[in-house]
Amino acid sequence: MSQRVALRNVTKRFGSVVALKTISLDIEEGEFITLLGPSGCGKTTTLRLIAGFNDPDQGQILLGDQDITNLPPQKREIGMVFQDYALFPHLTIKENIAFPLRERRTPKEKINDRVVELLELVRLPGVEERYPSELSGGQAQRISVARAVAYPPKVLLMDEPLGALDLKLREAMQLELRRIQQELQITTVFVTHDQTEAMNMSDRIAVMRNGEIEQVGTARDIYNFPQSSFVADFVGRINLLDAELLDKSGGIADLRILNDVNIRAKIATEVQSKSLCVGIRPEKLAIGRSGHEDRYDNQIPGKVVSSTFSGNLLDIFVDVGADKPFLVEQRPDQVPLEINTPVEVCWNAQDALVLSTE
Amino acid sequence: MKFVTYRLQKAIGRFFFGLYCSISYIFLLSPMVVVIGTSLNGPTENVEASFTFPPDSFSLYWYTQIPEGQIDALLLSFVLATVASLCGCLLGVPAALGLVRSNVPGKALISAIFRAPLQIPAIVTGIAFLQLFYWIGDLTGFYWQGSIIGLALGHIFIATPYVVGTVTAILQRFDTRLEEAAVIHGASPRRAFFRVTLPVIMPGVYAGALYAFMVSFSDVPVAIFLSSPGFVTYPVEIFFALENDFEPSLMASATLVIIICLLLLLLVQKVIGLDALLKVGGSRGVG
Repeated sequence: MSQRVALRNVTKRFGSVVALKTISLDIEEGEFITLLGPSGCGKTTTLRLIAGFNDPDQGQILLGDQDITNLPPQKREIGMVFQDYALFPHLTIKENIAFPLRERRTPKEKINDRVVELLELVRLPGVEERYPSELSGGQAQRISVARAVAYPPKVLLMDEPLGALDLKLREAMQLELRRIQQELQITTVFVTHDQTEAMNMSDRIAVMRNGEIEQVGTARDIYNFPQSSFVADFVGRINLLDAELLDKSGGIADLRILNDVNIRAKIATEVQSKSLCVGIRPEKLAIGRSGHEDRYDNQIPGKVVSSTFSGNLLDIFVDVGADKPFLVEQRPDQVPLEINTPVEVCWNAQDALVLSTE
Repeated sequence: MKFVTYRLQKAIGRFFFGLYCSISYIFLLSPMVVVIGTSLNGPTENVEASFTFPPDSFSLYWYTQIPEGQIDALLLSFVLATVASLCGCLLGVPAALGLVRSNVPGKALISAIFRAPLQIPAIVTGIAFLQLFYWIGDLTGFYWQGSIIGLALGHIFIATPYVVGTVTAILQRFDTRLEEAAVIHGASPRRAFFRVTLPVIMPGVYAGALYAFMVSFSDVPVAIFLSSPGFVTYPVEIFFALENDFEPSLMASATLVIIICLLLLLLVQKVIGLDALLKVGGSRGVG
């Protein structure tokens, strides 16, 4: 039922705009994969190619063992959840959910049972006779999911389905969608620009940029071992500093930053590119009093610029002479430092990443 | 004190707004009131005396005097308006779809051609069709003027732009993702059109059909050229009656038409809902 999806050297151009340079991606059976990236990175184009709304210029799309590159969308047996739900406004909820079943000539009695079953799956029983305009955003999204999985599809596509919901509801729906996906064991391709959402839900994440896949991996992989400064910056928060490589040995690099400060950082992934930077996650940074720190491998002096309190975190911004102030995450029970306090920003070599930049 | 003056200002504002609306309605409705009132006059020695408003006496006498020709003409007009409205939809809906969806070169020109009947004075349209029918007649031996075909062709010509206008307006706001949702969930493009697109744009089609019906039903300048004696639309029949035998029975028959139209509108309101039609923004079709 649920099947794997493969993109083989797929390219897509719209007029003179290259939407996708060459993309290859293997999605396992039952896997939840998220295409993550800023707008215009090609994630929605990729989804629309899998759906069949657009044809690739080159390359193949496989569903299971079948080449579906030239199959029209209605024959692909795919389910899809749209950003603004795209429920049929003139049909009742029951008719909406039954739509894929009716189009595939499912017998009537079966449809009725299936609709009840699906409404239970999305935990919204009893709304059969209502119209989409009578539902809230969250409810409409559940119905949209029910419709997408009604005729058990080989793969489920979701195009920023939670974009229109407020934060609380979005978080609740993330869990709901993940639960439904796990219950049905269905191959799912999810598109979002929200990295938290991607990390919360996915088995694997494909980070995209300028029509290419920059990195594919689990949330942990991508967060801890980003392969470029773009990925490091897009997924989670990070402080980036341009760096000059002086020496490397045993997975540790000696680098020079800010023209005259020498530091050490871990080489997590092989770095090819000439221009480098070093990235340190804000939670790996510590703040010490000037002249009193010796527990860390690296430290640079700076001055506190500002601090913000967000309940679970205390963010402190320190000017260390770089383009942007350094962000240091501290526990919220710490006493906020006065502005202009001279401090040392400290970290260990293994917590700093050497990254390639373009 | 300030609070009181603010409330006073609001009250005055409301009063003048109400006054403005009332005057507008009186202006729009008074001709009809006069027609209906005059139709209720009783028979008098002198026909002119029967045109008083308000009526001197109340009777339905003039309703019994409506000439049979007017009833026949009314029936013809209904049939004709229905045909014009239906054919207008059959032509106008695909035309609107093409104009909104396709990227054919010269879209602006095609759209202008579809609007042309609105910009050509109807009397010119009438003459043009008459000429055309003479020419076709001379070629084939079949003269279409004075036949239902000729009248219908003329009215379809002037009515279709209204359907194109309303359907274009609603299509521009149509979310094409609905069609994608239909197709990805198993519907062929043709099924997607009939199960999703058409039902969703239906208010626009109804609005266009209603406009088309009214345009055909009230047309004089085109029909006057394409009618023949004994085969005349209602407005043309009334037009001639006003010139030749001006009687209060005219008022009676006009009143009947007003009542029929009101009933039809009520029916439309019951079945489709006029608000749905208004939302479509028919002004696009008119302008």
